[in-house]
This record gives sequence, C-alpha cells and structure tokens, in this order.
Amino acid sequence: MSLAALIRERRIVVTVGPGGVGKTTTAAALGLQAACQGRRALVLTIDPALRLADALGLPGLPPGEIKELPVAALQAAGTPARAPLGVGMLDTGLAWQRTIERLVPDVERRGRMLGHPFFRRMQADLAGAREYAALEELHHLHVRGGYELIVLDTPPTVAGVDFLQAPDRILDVLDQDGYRWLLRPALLGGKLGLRVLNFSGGYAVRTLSRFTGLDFLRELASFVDLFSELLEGFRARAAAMKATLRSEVTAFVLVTAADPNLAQESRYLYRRLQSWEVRPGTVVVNRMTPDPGEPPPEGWSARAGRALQAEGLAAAPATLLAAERSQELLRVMHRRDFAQLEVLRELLDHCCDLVPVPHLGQEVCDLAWLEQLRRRLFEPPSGGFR
Amino acid sequence: MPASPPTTDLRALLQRRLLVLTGKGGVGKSALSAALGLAARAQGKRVLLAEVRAPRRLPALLGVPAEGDGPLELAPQLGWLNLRPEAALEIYAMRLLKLRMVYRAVFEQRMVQAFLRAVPSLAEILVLGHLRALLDESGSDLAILDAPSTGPGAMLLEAPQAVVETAPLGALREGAEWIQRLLTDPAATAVLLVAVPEELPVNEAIDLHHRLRRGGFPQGGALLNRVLPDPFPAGADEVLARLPAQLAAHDLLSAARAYRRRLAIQRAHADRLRAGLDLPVLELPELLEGPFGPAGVAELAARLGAALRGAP
Repeated sequence: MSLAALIRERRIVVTVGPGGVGKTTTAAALGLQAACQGRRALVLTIDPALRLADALGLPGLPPGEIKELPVAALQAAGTPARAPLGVGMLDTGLAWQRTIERLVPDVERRGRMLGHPFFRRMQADLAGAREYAALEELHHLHVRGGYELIVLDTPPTVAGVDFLQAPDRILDVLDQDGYRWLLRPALLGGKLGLRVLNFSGGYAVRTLSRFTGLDFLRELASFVDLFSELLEGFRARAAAMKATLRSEVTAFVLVTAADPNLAQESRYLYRRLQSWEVRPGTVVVNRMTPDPGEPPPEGWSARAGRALQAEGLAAAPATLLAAERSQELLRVMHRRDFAQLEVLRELLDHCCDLVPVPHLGQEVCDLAWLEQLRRRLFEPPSGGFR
Repeated sequence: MPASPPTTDLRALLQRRLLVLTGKGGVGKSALSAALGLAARAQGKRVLLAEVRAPRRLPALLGVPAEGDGPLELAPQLGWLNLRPEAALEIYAMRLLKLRMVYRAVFEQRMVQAFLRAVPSLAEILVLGHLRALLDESGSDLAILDAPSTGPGAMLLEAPQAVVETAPLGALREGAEWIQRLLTDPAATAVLLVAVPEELPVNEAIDLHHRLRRGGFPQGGALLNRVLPDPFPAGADEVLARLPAQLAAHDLLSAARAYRRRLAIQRAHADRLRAGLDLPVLELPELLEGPFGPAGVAELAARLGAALRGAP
C-alpha cells in the first residue's frame, strides 16, 4: 500500500525510527498530507522533542495542549489543505497523572501515588515510562474520537527499549513476583525484615538491607503496595492498546536515513515490529543526497577561473576548483546514500516500500518548508528520485 | 562569551584517570572512544576502554574479534570490557558476602533482575563501581568510558549523587560516595560531549552541558564529529554569483550551491554549539571514503594525535 493510501485509509499512523533522522518533521508532513486530503488529523509528539513546534514555526506551543491550525493558515503557507490540522506535544507527567486519575477514583490515594518518590523516579527515568504515557494518550484520543487520523511520533529507541515494549515493561515493574516474594515480610507485616514470615524472603531482605538500608526497602515495599492493585487496570488497558495497534486501523511508518550508523538500528526496529506482529507499511528514508549531475567539460573550470580572475575576482580559480571538489564530494555522498539504501532494503528483507526523500538542503522551520517536504514525500518527480 | 575560544588541551585531558564520552545516539561516541584510546596509547598510556551493555562494539571498531564481556587486552596497553550490572552485582555482592553459596541463595537470577529494576540507580552504581574498582586494580593509567547516549548517559553519572541523597548509611551509599568522589574530581575525571553539526545532537549536547554542570561533573570539552570539509576560499560567494549559469557548467554551479547550503547548515549548528557551551570544541572530519571501520578509527586517532602535537 502506498504512503498516500495509508494516510487516506488508516485511523492511526505511528512513526518509529532512530533519533535525528527527521522523524518528527516527517510525522508532521504526514499529518499535513491528511489535511490536504480533507481528513481531520492530529499530530501528537512526545516531550522533550520541541521539533514539532519548530517545524511548524510555533515556538510557543506548550506541552500538554492541542493546537488547531485552521485551513486558512495552512493555505496561506501554500498548502492545498482542505481540513484543519491539530498538533500537540505530550507532557509525560500530565499524561501519567491523567492515567492515574482515570484508574483511581480516591483522591487521597491518588495523591499519595503521584507523590511517591519511586513513582516520580519511575515516571522520569524508567525506560518505557514516556512511551507508555504516549500510548495511553493515543488510546484515549482514539477511543474518544474526533479525529479521522492520529499520527503519533514516538521517541527514538532508548537503550534498546522501544515503545512497543512499554506496556509490558511497566507491568513487569509493577508486577514482579520476584520482589513481591522478596518484600513479602514487609508487605504482610508492615515492618520490614526482622519479623521473618518467609524464611528465604526474610533472609534476602536482611542481606539486601545491608546494601540499601532498611528505609530504602520500606519505600520500595510501600510503592509496590500502592501500585499493585492498579495492575488489573493497567493490564486491561495494555491489552486494548495492543489490539488497536495490531489491527488494520493502524499503520507503522519506519523513518530512517541512509546512514550506515543507523542501518542496524533500523533493522532492529523492523524486527521489533515483526515480533510484535505488526509490519511497517512504508519505510521513509530521509536526507538522501541527490545526484549532483555532470562535471563541466575538461578544462572549463580553469578557463572560467582565469577569465573571472582577469575581471578582478582574485578568488575565482580557487573557487572553481572548490566547486569541482564539492561536486565530487556530493557524488561520493550520493553513491554512498544509494548504496546504503540497497543495504537497508536487504536488511529489511525487502519487506516494504522504501521511499527515498531528497535532502531539503534546509531544516523545516515553518509550514511552507513542511509543505516542501510533503511534496517530496507524496509528489515525487516522474521517473522517481535518483 | 570569552574573548578567544578556549582550546582543547588534549594532552591535559589524557592525564586524567577517567574520560567519559556521551552525547546523542549515532554521533560516533564509540568510534571516538576507540580513537581516543589509540591516541592515548600512542602517548604511552595504559588504557582501559569500557562500554555499557553494548557487547563488543569497541572491539569490532578496532578490528579485534572478542568474545564475552572482558576484561581482556585488545592490544598491548589497550584493555577493554563491557560493563553489565548483573555481572557487577555479583562481584560487588561477593565482596560483601564472601560466600558464593550465599550469593546464589540470595541473588538467584530472576531475583537479581527484579532487584536491579526495582531499586533506582542500583544498576548505574554497580556499573560505575565495577569500572572504578577495575581502574584501581588493573594498573591502567586512563579509563575511557563510552557512555550511553544523552538521557541514560546523564542518569548514569547522576546515579551516585541520587543514592547519596536518598539512601541511608550502608554499603550502597558508601559505594556511591566512593564513585562520586572520582566523578566530581576535576583532576581525575573529564566528561567529553560528542555531537555532530545537526540540530538535535547540538541541542542535546547543550542541554547535557548544563545538566552535568549542575551535577558538578568536570567537563573537558566537546568533540564535534563529522564536519564536512570546506574547500571554498574567501570571496567564493561573489565568484559563484558571477558565474554564467546557462553554460555547460550548470550542474557544477548547482552542486556547489547545494554543497554550500549543507556547509552553512553545519556551520550554523557548530556556531550554536560553541555559543551554547563554555567549553573548547574540537572538530573532527566526516570520513566519506568507504564504510566506517577500523581504518576510520585509525584516521580519527591520527587527527587526535595531530591535535595533540598542536597541529591545526
């Protein structure tokens, strides 16, 4: 299925990919494409990437809020938009807070959970916590309705944990038989370690407390205690999220660049998607160096350099030599990028369409440049981009 | 801003005991760690290269096949290991518990996993503690840590302080203090920020610079990797503007412009990095020929060696 068809037909498009390849900007261009097809779309990105606001020329976009770009504003920037475009940056803390609010009616208990130092740490540091919050928000907005398409820009893979693992990982942390067993004395007795209810557990606690001190384990126990009853709620929501992401409603778009450093990470992401029983519909390969064309005829540069020098431009000969050199360098980069495209095709088992996107020669900093990127994605020159 | 940009005193940096390289993913931290290792060894240092949960990336970059996690000698005077919290916990716990049997009873594998996940900062403390112990015991002059990328990298360095602040007195806290002393000693340690002249890597390097400064970590400089060569002389703009565009050289002219747009983007980001950091910035070139591997690392090491000798 072509990228245009995905944007026309799916309800959720998730962009995944390594960092720094233009993933957020690509997600914005996909949302803009939907607006140009007349669909109401929302592009949702995750803090702390301010790239979305930058790409849209909206420096004041506050995290946690959705801003609606009206059709008139999109058209004024030269786009053929027929529907407005919503954009929002997720605020992880806020998303977690909303999640807990949806799951815990008791205000006092909720306050204790949100204020627990372990929870605050988990939210900030645990690999997967941001990603989980993003999925919660996506699921919430999808179920609530109001958008024909939601484009979710995921954070880059962190330490080998990607957002697909996030629900499992959060559940895993909250539901560890291992440390529930370990902390049983504390959980049952309210006091840690010294009253040995379970011989091995108590022994382990005493040994561990030699590392950490007892207070530390007490905090851990109170955290497990507070959150363990949320497990059922989390589990049900995680299952619903997974089902949505695996269904025909959702398409995954892998965004990468033709950089040898990124090849293995791209393959890893592709494998992760596969193991998760989803397949990337399309792979967008950004920042491809275009063919720099033919060198001038032999001797031309030297003659032109001398001619301009005679007109008083002392730098002319060196400039023309440099121009030839830069054309050579671009050719090396062009060959490298397209060779890498083939390597990538191989690494991804020829799974899907690879869409090479020429280097813009400019960073997307407003809607007009976003439109340029959209055209490169969706209106390639006849005969394709070489 | 200082009147003249500070210069990277590589020689002084190599006198430290620990260099930590961090920065955004994909900017070449591992390649530069390996290259710095080679450059330090060429200065007569005994070097220990360490990576974290990234099995054998550095050996591969140096073209030395390796198995397991080390520590082992990749070459004379060049040691390597892959730091894993699970292995470190065993070593650390063994010191405390003395008896392997007791360790097995307490730290059965599934439990170890659960415990590492459950106790914040424990994995980081173990990794750093293992490195410090090895640095002290191996007789190495210098350890080079190829740290994880920005967020996890900062968390790794911040973990000891977090533990010192939250953990009551005990072995964990003592260990954290012992590591913290090394990490915050400007005579012993320097963090090097690695970036490439692109938007996000530069943003992350600047954010990291401030974050690490708040944490009291000495920073030795920034390594700006993959800088494109600029062959154009001063006055090139005027010449290109006067070149007749309709000629056989149409492609040449547009290629030169396209290349110069790329240079301008890179330069803008490099300037942003310099303005955003209170640190010397050392530029390293984009290596365009061939796939990146041991030859590329050797070339980067040669560039670092040239910088050591004070060549431009």
